[in-house]
Amino acid sequence: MRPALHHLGDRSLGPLLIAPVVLVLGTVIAYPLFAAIALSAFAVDTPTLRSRFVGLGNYAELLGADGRFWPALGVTLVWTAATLALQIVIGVAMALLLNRDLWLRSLARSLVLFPYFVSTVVAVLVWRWLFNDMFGLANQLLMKIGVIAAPLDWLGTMPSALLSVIVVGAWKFFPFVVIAVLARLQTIPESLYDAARLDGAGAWSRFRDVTLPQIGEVLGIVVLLRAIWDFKEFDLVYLLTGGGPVDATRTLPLIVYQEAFGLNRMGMAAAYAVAMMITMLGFFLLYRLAVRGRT
Amino acid sequence: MAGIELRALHKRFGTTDVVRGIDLTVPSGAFLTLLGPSGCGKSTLLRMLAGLEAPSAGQILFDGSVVNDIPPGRRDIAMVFQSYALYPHMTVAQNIAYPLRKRGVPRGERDAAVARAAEVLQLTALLDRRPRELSGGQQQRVALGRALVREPRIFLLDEPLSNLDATLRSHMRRELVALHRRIGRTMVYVTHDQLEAMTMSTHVAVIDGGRLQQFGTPAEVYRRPANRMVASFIGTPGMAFADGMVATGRLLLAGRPLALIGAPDGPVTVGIRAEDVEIADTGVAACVTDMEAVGHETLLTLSGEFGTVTARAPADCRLAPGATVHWQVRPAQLHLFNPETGDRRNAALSPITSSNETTAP
Ligand SMILES: Nc1ncnc2c1ncn2[C@@H]1O[C@H](COP(=O)(O)OP(=O)(O)O)[C@@H](O)[C@H]1O
Ligand SMILES: [Mg+2]
Repeated sequence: MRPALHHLGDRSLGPLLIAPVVLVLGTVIAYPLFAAIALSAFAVDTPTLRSRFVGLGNYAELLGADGRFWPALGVTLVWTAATLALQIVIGVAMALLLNRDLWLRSLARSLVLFPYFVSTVVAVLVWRWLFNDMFGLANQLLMKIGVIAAPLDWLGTMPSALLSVIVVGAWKFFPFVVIAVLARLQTIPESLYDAARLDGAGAWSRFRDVTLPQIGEVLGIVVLLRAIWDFKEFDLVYLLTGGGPVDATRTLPLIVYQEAFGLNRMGMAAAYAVAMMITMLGFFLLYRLAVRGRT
Repeated sequence: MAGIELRALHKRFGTTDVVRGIDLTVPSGAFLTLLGPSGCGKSTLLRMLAGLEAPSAGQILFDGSVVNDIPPGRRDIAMVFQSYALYPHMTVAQNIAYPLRKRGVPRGERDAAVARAAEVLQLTALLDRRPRELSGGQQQRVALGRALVREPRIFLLDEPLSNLDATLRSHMRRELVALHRRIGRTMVYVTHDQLEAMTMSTHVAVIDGGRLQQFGTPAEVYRRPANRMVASFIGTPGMAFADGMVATGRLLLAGRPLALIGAPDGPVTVGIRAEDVEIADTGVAACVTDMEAVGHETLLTLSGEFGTVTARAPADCRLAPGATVHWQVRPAQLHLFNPETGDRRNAALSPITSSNETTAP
């Protein structure tokens, strides 16, 4: 065995050793990616899989006559930005709270994870009941305290439908932020806060000058990951509003689904998916530039 | 007017009493060292002075006024932490300037103050570095700079030298003393290192188990330790103790008369410092059980019926372990303690000479 390997020499041994990794990554990442890109160049009928090469035709339609891309991109961006901002604010606030010496802290820490663990289907069912226009708790409460006079069709009208999706998204995913930030908070030495107090820093100054710089790095990663995941989020939006009323909450992933399985146009679905990927890539590069510019 | 006064200061965490009633007064401009073994409550005491912990009972007074309810930022104090606690994302200059910035000192004044502090602490070349790019000694100086820059009336230092190597530590010890002399502010210095306490302070408070064991100048604490704890904690090598007996005006060690004593009969603990033990031709017989060469001298461990004492011998001492020697100690240099309470006992001691041997009862 050993002489055989030796005989190969470093030049051929190297590629041999990384071959498994390349193979795995190639199968699970590169192949689907290129398959999707290739698919987007065809007009495919999903049930029969009969296909016709159309080149960039799908993209031309997507950006032109189709008319759904730009509005859906707008909705997707609003949804992503708003729900992400809420997740970060709530998540960081909650992490700060849980990092203090709170009564029943460990219980609170587990409870906070609850939304993240509940399956989206179950969570959405519960929220749909809360938002129900006839029997929903949201309407009951808001009417009781006099914010609204008559029951509201939360998920059936705008802007409350988009607002509801954003809020439910924030509720569902803020625990991720809590976990990541809390883990980092626990590593900040207490003496830094003591020093800041002696230096005359108030609560806000201590947060800005001690806490924020320390959690900055982890927040950067959390924002990146959550932005990608929220941008691609399908089931929560689909189950909560189905993209409605009409197309007011229709995000790009919903169109991909609709094209692939509703309209049986696999090629067009692939074109939408690739367009999404390019958009994300664009934002990712902007983000990298912004982060690098700050440090 | 008193610099710092503590009145029946108490601190309890849950059900544990960590500081148990400390009364203390040091004048303005003093260098007070809180000395005691690890876990005795020194840091807790210091943190109460800083306002980072609230006393469970008792009062803290600065310059005659109670500061219990004044938050740390407004006590006009600065603290140097054992871990330095430098802000990691700020440069040295920003770290030093931070307390001034938080007090709204204008930019120009701030920069001038930082430059002055950096000059004093030889940090000028490092002002643009971040803490992680500094050595331990440099970080320590930055922490000092951050304390120095706002000219507080009291400096609090919690084991600031414990993370430095021996050479740097003795260097910084002298630097701190010089700094104290130059600025003349009250300093409270926490350490478990008796050498630091002895060399730096004007006042030493020895603490054990949350109680003040003795308060005095370094010389007083060394020469007249108030109890066994203080006696054993201060001085290297530590004081040796032996069970003695007072009988008919004589202090006996293992049945052998050591000195004349003006004390009632009964058991007594005898404390003997290594530097007071003299190897001689006559005296208490002992066996050399251990020898430790420490460079400029050799420490001998001497054992006998009386117990064990340490003696200092010249570096070129020709004894070998197992040898039998005799040792003597001048009676005036013996320390006596109550064997039950450990408290110091004062009694007149004098040598047994042939002249008073005959006059003794
Ligand atoms: N915040 C706290 N909660 C509970 N116990 C504490 C706290 N701070 C200190 N202690 C306890 O008080 C004792 C004295 O601590 P400390 O003042 O840090 O001692 P030292 O500085 O003399 O080593 C220790 O036993 C420590 O465990
Ligand atoms: Mg301590």
